[in-house]
Amino acid sequence: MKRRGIWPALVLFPVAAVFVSLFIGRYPMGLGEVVRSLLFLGGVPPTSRALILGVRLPRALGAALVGGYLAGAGAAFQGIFRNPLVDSRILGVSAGAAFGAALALLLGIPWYLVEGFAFAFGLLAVFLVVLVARRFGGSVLVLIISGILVGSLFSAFLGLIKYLADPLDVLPAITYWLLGSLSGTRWDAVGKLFVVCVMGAGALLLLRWRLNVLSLDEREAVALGVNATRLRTWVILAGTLLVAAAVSQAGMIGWIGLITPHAARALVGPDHSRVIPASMLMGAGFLTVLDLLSRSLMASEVPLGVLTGIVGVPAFLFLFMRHLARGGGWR
Amino acid sequence: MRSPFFVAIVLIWVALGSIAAGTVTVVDQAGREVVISPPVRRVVSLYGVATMYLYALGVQERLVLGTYVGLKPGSPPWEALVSVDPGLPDKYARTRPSLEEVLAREPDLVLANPWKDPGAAEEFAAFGVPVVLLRAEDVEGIRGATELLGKIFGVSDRAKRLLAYFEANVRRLADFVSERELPSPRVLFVGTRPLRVASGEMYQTQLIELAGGDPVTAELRGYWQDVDIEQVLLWDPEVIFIAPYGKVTPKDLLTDSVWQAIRAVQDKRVFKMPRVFAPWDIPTPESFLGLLWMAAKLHPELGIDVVAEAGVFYREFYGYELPEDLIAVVGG
Repeated sequence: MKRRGIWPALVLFPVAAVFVSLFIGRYPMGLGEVVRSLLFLGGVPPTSRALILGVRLPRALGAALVGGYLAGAGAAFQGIFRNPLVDSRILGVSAGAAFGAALALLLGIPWYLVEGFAFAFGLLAVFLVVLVARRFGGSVLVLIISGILVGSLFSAFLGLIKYLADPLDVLPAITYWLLGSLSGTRWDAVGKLFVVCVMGAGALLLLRWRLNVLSLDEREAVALGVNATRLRTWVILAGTLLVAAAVSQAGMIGWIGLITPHAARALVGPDHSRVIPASMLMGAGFLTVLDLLSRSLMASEVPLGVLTGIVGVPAFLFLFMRHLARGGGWR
Repeated sequence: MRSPFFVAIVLIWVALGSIAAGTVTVVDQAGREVVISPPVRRVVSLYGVATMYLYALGVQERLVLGTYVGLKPGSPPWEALVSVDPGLPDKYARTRPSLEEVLAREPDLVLANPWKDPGAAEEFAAFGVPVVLLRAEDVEGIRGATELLGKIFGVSDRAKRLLAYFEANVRRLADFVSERELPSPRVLFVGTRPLRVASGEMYQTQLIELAGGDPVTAELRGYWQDVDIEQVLLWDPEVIFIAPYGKVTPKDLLTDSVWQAIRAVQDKRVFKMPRVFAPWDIPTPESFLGLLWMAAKLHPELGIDVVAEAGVFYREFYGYELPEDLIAVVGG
């Protein structure tokens, strides 16, 4: 299913979402103030300028990057595992990253290293998964089983840390982190997200042509001259990089990586060379909109993980059902 | 068919029996009737806030096992508490102890909080250990808990003295503020993150009101709430208090570029609350000093000498002389 004009719309979605985000928030500011701030014109109160350029803009960009990374990685994982129910959790990335962050918080490590811990343990988890899987032949089934095992192990360690954590100061920090939030995302965070992930996103976009081969039967892939195991490993590493970076910045934001690729498929068809970029763009726009709601609906922030579920699931369920009703498959 | 006469005999028999055995029936803060056999010599506290009342009432040696309020072994509050209770290392429970750990201490009584520990009453009742449920989470709860514990431990006079101290401070501040017609500054209470704030339903907000401040988060419901920086700018607090626990410091806010737009930051009226044994913002007896500390920061013109007040308070209720380093913290 191809539609003309879908790509400009897909690109416009995140750009428009970020742009609109600059105009909306709890603090009342006129349209003129926002526009003048963006154009670096004078006559804007310093508070408004600091809010628009220093708070709203980096936060919206951070949301777009995190959403894009999670959705892109989800699409890639679904492709290589030939399974529509797969997302970053299947390989234990999220569990590893969550454990790393909780460990850092428990040990009282400075806050700016918490992200580093999350990132390192997210990678470690996947490294373990790939190692175990390779030892036993590297088939998709072995990979998924070892992913579930490693993920469960880290989840158990996370439970232990939560049990040991001081309920007065450490436990709230861990809980907050696990719920997921982009609150406090400033330019330094956007910089980190961007730099680390250009590699991951770039690799996925470059590999996306070959991913179609992985969706075939493994023997067919070999027949086409593709080393399926090696290609899969590369895709896993690239996807992991994206997820670990997203999770380490914004905590556990569930669900986007699972369902966005389905919506993307409904719009651009099953070809991975299209699904991955389309998922990234949709995830970026989608999370930006949700984060805008999260920070502007009420006086207190609505947890992002709650919003992704409440707003997103019905919307995408609709898309998905319509796609099925028209006789589309998941691939 | 049971005759009224038979019922009366049974009732008298039960009453006589309880007098003979020396039991006392109290109504706890969950409205349950609990039969206790005084003197209570071995108590286990599963409710950290209640634990701190035992120290203020001078019965800490009867505590055989207890949870505390964010207390870490070896920390300054730990050292302070050890000096009024050398047995602390043996009775300190890092997390909520299990049924068997509690029973191993052979308690006469268990103190618990119905909200944090909903199953405690049934759990220990099955082993014949009475459980008193306490809710010292707000001013009303503090009054009830102090009176109840005074009665249970036979130290009602001391409990009355402790409450009288609190009530006198509350009255004194209310009189000050109304007599001098002091304005109520807008106050924000920050928790373990700069954008995590105390809601209107929390004790911290009650303290701010009693101290003559106007809590900007009065409308927020529930427990700690995460807010957006834009909301803080809208509230534009004139004073910011930071909880004693957690890593947030006044410097974090004073040096942040976006927070510069906030009145409290411009006026450098951002203060971290002190902690001696327990944090001063938690509804333990030390929060009575927390109230004075807040009032001193909100209304410097009242000339409240927190260091002197704290010296008297810790000497009278804990037999504790504040060391130099803590005097600096309290006065800071």
